[in-house]
Amino acid sequence: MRSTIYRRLASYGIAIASTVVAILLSLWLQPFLERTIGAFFCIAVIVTTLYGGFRPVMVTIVLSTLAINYFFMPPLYQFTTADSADIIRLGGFALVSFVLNLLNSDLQQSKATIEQLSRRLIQENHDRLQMALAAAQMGLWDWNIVTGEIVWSPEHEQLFGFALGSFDGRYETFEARLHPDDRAKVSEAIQQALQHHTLYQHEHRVVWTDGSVHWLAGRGQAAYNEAGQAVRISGTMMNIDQRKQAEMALTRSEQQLRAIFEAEPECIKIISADGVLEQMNPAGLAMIEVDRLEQVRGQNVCPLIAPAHQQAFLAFIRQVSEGKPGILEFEIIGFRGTRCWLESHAVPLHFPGEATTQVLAVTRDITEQKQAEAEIKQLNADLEQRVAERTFELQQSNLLLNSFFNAASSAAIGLCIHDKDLRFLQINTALAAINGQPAKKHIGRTVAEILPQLAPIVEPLFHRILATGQPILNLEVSAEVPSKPGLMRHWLTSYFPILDETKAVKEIGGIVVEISDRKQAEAAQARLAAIVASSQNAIISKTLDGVIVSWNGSAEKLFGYSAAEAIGQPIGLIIPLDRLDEEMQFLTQIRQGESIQQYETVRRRKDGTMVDIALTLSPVRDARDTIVGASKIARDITEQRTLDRMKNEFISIVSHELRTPLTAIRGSLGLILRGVYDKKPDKKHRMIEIAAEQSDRLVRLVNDILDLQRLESGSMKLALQACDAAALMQQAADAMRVYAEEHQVHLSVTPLPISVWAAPDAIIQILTNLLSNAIKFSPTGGQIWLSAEPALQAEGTGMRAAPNSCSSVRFAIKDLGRGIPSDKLETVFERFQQVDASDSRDKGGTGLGLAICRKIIEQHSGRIWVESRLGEGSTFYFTLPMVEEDAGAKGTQCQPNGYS
Amino acid sequence: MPAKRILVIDDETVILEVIQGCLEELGDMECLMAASGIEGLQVAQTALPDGILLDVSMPGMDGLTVLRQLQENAVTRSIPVVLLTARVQPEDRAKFAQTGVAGVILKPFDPIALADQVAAVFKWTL
Repeated sequence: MRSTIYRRLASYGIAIASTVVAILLSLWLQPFLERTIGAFFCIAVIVTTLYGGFRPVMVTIVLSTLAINYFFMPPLYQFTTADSADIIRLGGFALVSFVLNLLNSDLQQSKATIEQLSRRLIQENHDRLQMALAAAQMGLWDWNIVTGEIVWSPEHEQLFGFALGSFDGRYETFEARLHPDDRAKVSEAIQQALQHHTLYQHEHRVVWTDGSVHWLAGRGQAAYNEAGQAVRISGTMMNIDQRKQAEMALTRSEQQLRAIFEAEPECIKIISADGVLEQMNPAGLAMIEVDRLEQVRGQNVCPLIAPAHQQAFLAFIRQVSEGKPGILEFEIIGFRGTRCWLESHAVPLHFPGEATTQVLAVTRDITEQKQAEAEIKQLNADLEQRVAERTFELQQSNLLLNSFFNAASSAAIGLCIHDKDLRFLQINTALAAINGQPAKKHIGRTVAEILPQLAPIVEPLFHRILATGQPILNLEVSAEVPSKPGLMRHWLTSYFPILDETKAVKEIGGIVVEISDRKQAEAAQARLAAIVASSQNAIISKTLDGVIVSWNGSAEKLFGYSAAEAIGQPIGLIIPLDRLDEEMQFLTQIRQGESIQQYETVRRRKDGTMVDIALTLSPVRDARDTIVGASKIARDITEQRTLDRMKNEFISIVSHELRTPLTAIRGSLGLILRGVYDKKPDKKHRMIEIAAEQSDRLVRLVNDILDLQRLESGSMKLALQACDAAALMQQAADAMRVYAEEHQVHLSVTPLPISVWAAPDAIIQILTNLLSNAIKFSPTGGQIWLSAEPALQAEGTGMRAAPNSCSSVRFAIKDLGRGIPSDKLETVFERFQQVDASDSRDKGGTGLGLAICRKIIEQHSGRIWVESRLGEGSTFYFTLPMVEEDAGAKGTQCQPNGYS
Repeated sequence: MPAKRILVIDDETVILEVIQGCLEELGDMECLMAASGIEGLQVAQTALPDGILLDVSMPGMDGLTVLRQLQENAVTRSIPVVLLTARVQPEDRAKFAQTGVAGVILKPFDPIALADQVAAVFKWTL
């Protein structure tokens, strides 16, 4: 406020002073500066305008005008004018001065305004500067090198950790705050700048009192005197902690990136948009087979690209540089000629302020991958080829399968495929026909739905296959099916798993072959085999070369060779040497398809004995009706031969036996008729006697033959009943008593009053026959005994009697005749057997009596035998079943063993 | 001319009697009789008959055995033998034919023709 008043007063003072000065000057210099008087007043006006202001200038103008008028215009020293020109001059001067005042005032005002504005601006700038400095943490410093005084701005103090106003302005204080490691460098940098008149720039650390370290960046410009010596240096200081941290972080980041860059096994490179290499890591250098970056930096990488890929590479680089990241695979040829495939991931790299965009590419060697891809591609191609082939094969296989399915139908082989739910997936017509349903009707349905009666058999098999994964082969299944009800049919079935790629069961396949015919054939064959096995005849088959192929049990029995011994051997094994020709003949006939029926011949057993056989040979044909061997049935005809022999012999004997009396009858009657003995009555009588006796003999013989025949054929059924043995004995003895007396043989009978189960007439026949023989063969005066006694039923049989079985009665007829040789004791009971020449034939016997006795006793379940000593006599025994007394008492009758 | 002597060997005595009647009464032959083969051999060897009428079926030594022994015996070898048999089976005949006998006469024979039949076989003139 005071200064403003002073300023105003000063301005008016200046106005007055300048006017006075002008007056004085003008007066002083009037003789020399006539025309310049007004000038001085103008100067005064100007000076006043410069330093006084508008109002003071008005004062100056007024004073100057008055002065001019008083001092310089006539009348001098008066305030009047004599000349209008002078008024005008004076008015002009006033005007001009007024104008100058206005102008100057404006100018001053403008200047003031400008100054004000400048001040404001300066203030503002100062404020801004302060703010900027504060924001930038920038301080200002000024070092008067001459005086050594250092002036810091408050911000600068803060930057050095000083409290505001606490800096003493000394270099040492400044230096003390520097980090010990930076002091020398700071000092050196200052010296360098001062010496070389360069800008001071240095970054250093300061250590605050709290021990914290801060980075500052100092910049300064020195001022020099005329001698070129630095007299002052001023500058700025700013905190660069953040920047340093950022730098350090950036440096660390850069180091990390560098480390990554260097260590990255993939190629990292930076190339320009036109392919010039700017940076590449060691991995990349190795990729292109160079040792140092300098060998390739700045060079275009395109020549390294395989010619076929260069265009694509350039386009790729261009694309990326235009801002579109991408991936490219290409082939390069290293400096040493090695080709490799690379995959490059590229992104645009644009730094602010740079006009061009580079390309940052991370490239990896995919040579192996490419090779693998090529191999995979080849494999895929191969695989596709194989898949195609396999598909073709599968198609063919499916076609084949379908053809097979159809063909199998033609061959009456049923085929089917079931899913895991046992539903039909596929079935051929053959199996569908077996099942009695159209094939289409099977699809999607189970066996239980199609053939309920077979499901219990088949479905467990399916489940087993699903569980085990194992096939079930050659299983015979029998059932009736709807297509042929009432007929049991047989099939040979095989079921097998169909596996998927994981070897799990995915489907079940089935093969069904009807074997009903085969089973029938097998049954027939089995029956035939059973017949063959059980046949009493030897059944042998042999090849056309005569090698034995089969040999049944009866062959073993007949010939003595086991099947193992015989099979494979030539048939000559059993053929006597003298019969080999007939075997050759047989084979010849067999080859011609002929059969040989009941050819009687002889074969040789293993033990060397011969056996009579009747052979029936038939050719054996195979399925093509080709004769492949011979079937031989050999019937042991030994017994038959024996029987035939016996029969023939019997017939011969019977014929002989019949013819013999006939001869006597015919001869004797012939002689009588001829009248040979008309004159010899004794002879004639003898002939008649012979005729009569032989006729009787003939009758007896015929009767005996017929009886024996009926007994042997079973047509003579004896009516058995309970009989009194004593009565039978007595009756027979009575019948033979006269005969005995005639032969002067004494007959002694010891009847046994016991019941026997017998046909009375037949027993009497036996007793009379045996008594007759005994009488015939007893010497004159001899003795015959007829007796009977109880015995075990098995007596004489050599068998043990059954417990509680009926006992038997043994009859005995003993004589004292000539006896029977031991070798005849059995044969005497055979037909027409004679002990010796002095036979009963001569004594009227037929030769059949004992045979008839045996047959009769056999029908009584008894036994007849003889015990004899030559020259001492014989005893004939026979047994009859005894009727038990209690059974008899109760009225029941004992059934002899074996009687029916 | 002395009568031909025929030895008749047969175990049936009644046959021997009949044959004796046929041959002696109708054939004017002298019959020697033997009731067994053994007896017949003895008689043949001793009597040396002109012919032998031999029954085949005899107990003990049958007629064929007797025949063989007669043929083996130098003494009796030349005596012609006629078999007398009731065995009429073809195989019997074939067997008899191979024995070297002069003939076979079947039983029953015609008694009236027996002598002529025997003479014819022995080629005798009655």
